Amino acid sequence: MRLLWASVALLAAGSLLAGAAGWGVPDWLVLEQIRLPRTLLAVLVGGGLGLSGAVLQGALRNPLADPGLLGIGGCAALGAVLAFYWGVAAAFAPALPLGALFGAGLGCAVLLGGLGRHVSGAALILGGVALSAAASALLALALSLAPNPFALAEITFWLMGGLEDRTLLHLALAAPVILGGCALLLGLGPRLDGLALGEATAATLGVPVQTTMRLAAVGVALAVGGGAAVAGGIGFVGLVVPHVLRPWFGERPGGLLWPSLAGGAVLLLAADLLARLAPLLLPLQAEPRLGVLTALLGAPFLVRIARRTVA
Amino acid sequence: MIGVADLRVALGGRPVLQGVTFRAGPGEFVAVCGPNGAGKTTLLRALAGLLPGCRVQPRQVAYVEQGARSAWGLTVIELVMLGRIPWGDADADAAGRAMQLCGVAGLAGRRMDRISGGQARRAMLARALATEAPVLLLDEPAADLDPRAGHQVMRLLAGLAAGGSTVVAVLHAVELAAAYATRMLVLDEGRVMADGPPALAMPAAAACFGMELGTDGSARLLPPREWEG
Repeated sequence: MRLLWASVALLAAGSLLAGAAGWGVPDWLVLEQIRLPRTLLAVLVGGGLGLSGAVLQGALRNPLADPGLLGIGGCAALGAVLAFYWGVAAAFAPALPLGALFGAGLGCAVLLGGLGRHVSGAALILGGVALSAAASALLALALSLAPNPFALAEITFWLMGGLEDRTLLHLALAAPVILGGCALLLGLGPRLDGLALGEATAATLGVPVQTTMRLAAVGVALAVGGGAAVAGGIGFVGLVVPHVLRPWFGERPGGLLWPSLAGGAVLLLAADLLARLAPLLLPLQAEPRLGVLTALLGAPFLVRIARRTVA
Repeated sequence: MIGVADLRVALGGRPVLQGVTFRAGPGEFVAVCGPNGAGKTTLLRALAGLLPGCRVQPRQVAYVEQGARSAWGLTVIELVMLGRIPWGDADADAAGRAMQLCGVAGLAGRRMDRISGGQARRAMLARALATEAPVLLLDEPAADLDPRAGHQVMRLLAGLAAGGSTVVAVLHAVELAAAYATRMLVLDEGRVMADGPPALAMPAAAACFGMELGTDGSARLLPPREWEG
């Protein structure tokens, strides 16, 4: 655990010192206005995604659960795209993250409202898959009706996720939401442990199963929605991080929450650092998108885990 | 003390329990017997507070469902510690005693998915015992155990009942039930066919299964009839 936090600190320091032009201690203004928001957002967004993944996998007893499964990220993207679409984002900068937050909140409300009184893990997965299908269909509709090619390119670019050019305003907007979500999720540890025995047995142990599922959905909506609002679509972190950590921290769901928080931060900081350094090392014209990098880094990991699980 | 009075349950329109009254107290080891679909598991779930309208105190009742498994590769000690959730503590002594009783103390650090089925079954039992609840509800605690392990589990349950616990176990192995339980509840099609000491309830159980009782109290399965329906 100490090692994980040390990695977070080390990578954060690296992130503060690494710029487009190379290493070095930058001006205070650059540090404060550009690198600090970017670094802190990577920690928050990554931590929120890692923790959300660990909670969902525990609550649903499913190693394939990913925050994207609930469709909250898709709803956030839809909200952001609509803000783009109506040109609000151009007139008023915070409209984009606010639109995404609104989309995530609405998505969570629709999910929990649609499920009604009995929220089981299976119902949550099915509802989430339906929600994310609906969100991506509406997203595709919005894209196909895009007012001009420029808007289309802009939207697609945003959907790939990234943390460049984020300001302290973005940080102020997202931090309370993500931190609130994380606080909610971190409190679910013992309940998730109980759910390892199945929903019925957990209920006989006094675990409020329905409430736990709802709290998990709300916490994930906050942590992931807040992240998507400022960073766009970043996949795979929530899925991969708990898997990577299980061999070291054991498989008890409650014991994986803090490590996954730290691990998600490490992964996103590292990916973001890599994205920034890539143009220096490779003949690239621009930074590769962060969401693209996390998926590229995550996929081989997952294949390795799948092979080990089967063996 | 645990029980239900005139319990009627329908699942998906099909009546599963049709007016079952049952009560068990400290010192009793009740074997619930009957054919598949008789409503045994539903009765146990009702006693465990898992049906709408039935609520029980988590500290009073420990329940192990049929074929209980844990998700993830929990270690045996991690699993047994889950039995302390109702108390909100991590009482290692209670967990240690439970593991000792079930003979899994030596497996504490082993993963649940890397031990034998019989050992996993005993670890699940230890998880229930770690709650130190006065009432134990077990669905098929002896299923898929080898004969010796089955007898060990039954002897353990009988010992717990003798020590003042209330043990209610769904058992398919009627002979095992007759040998160890203090009382036998025979269910068929959601109704109580017999309720009493095993010696008195065995004829009803044998009738449900189409078994022939020997004069020495042993039961032998008659040649099965053809499938019906």
